[in-house]
Amino acid sequence: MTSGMDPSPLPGRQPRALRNTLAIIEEVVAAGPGVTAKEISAALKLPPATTYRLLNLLVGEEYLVRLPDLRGFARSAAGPPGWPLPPTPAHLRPYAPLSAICAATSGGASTSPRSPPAVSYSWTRTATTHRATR
Amino acid sequence: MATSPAMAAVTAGATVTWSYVIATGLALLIGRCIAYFTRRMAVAGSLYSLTAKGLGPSAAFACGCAMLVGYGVLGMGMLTGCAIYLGDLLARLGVPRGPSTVAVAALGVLALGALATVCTLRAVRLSAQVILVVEAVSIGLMLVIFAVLLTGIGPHLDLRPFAISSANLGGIVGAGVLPALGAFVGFEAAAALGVEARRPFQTIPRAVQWTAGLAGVLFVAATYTQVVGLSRLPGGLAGQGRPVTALATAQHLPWLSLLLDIGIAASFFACTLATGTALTRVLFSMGRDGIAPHQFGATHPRHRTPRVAIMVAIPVTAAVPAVLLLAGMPAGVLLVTLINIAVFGYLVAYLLVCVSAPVFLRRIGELTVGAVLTAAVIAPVLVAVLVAFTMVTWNGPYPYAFGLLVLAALGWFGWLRLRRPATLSGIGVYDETLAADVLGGTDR
Repeated sequence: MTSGMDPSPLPGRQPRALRNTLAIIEEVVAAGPGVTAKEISAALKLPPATTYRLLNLLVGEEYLVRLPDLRGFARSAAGPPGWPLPPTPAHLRPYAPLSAICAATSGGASTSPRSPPAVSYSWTRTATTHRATR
Repeated sequence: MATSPAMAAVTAGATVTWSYVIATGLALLIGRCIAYFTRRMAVAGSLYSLTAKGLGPSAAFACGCAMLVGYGVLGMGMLTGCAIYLGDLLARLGVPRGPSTVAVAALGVLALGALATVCTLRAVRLSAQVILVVEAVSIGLMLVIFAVLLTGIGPHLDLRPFAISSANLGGIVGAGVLPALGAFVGFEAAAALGVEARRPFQTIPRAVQWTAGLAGVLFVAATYTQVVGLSRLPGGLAGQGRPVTALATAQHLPWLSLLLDIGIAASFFACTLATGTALTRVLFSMGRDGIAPHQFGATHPRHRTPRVAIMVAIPVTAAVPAVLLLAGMPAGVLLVTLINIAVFGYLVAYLLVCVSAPVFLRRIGELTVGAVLTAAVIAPVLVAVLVAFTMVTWNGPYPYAFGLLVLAALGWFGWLRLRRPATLSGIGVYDETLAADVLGGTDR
């Protein structure tokens, strides 16, 4: 997570807050349902008060839910409008992105370069193909 | 807004404006404590259900009783107030006051109670819209009236209401804050709509805090106008029973009095609807928890409102003041008595929820320094206010009323403790997350 030289139009601390928010969602996905605010704060090395505030924001926006013990978090199934994601727009080519081809030529990936990418609606960073199609 | 500054001024004198500034700060702190809960859980039982998650069942039961007294008795007071000002309006329009005035007032209270029952029984959206429109109109009316009155006083800014000297400091901090804080009670009513609101974790805390802040600004403006405007009359603001009316008369604007009566009566009615809505949600939660008759937990098949609780509670809040009026209690005395009893209930509930907040946060592992500091500031203040309140109201019907209410609550608690200990220990129902709400279910 880099900061400082950011060409984004967001002023001040907003880029960092946005990254922290996304990192929290990823951490909830990675740790699975039931992860607590303290665990998230420790895993991401974020100040507890910041973590609690962002978590409450995400619960308020219905990206996350609190489990019945009120300690644990999970991803929301209902979510905000437009969630789950709409189907991929038809004008996008169903081909693998260049990064997959490059990886294939260097012997890193096993998938055929012309095969359509597997679309998984998870927010993990490993799904490079998924990010490219979105 | 039009009537309460005079009540505070009786004890605080001309420094009453400062009392409202301090009371606004206190209300915002209480709202902050409530928000620690409402950002994390959606409840229908207002502070009752919130306290259950912090201090546990016994404290929650006490808070629930305090809330029933607060909402219920305030509803009675608001209906009485509405009838008083409608009576004034009729008198001003030329209807003669005869021996049947008391009976008419009692009938008026019952009719208004029936109207309130119908409004709250319909979908919550309707009563919310009625409250919003009525309050917007009445607050708008007040602002116009205050603007007119201030223009009459003169364009210069008079800073005397904000002057502080060592002589009047005691009045500000002690006696004035108490009735000023009393004017804020009910600002947390939105906390009872957590289950019915859209995006409750955002909207409910915001609604509670905005209500406190906006009410504070309006109160300070209203008090300033009344203190400055009435400083030339004998006795000042404290000498007036109906201060704004006196102000209008003093400036030879009798048509303002007519508008005022309409505005204040409408505002009282809107307040009846708001307290009735919150009261029935607390009863609904108690019915669901099993400590009140379970029928209270039933909802209207179409409107989704707690039907039985509304049909029982709101007619009762209308019947009690009607009977007291018929028994010969003067309407003005009845209004003040009911409001004072309600304020006591609210203060107890506020104290419990504020102490509850850090305990709750600790329990779920999200305690912060800010939460501890907030509770550490507001809890002792609320204790002091409660003690002051008890001392101020010691001479009068209050000790008997409180004694009766506490005995009733203890009897109820004892019965539950003996017959339904398991039910009692499980109170505090709230909108829990279900498996269907979680993406992929809960398998951890």
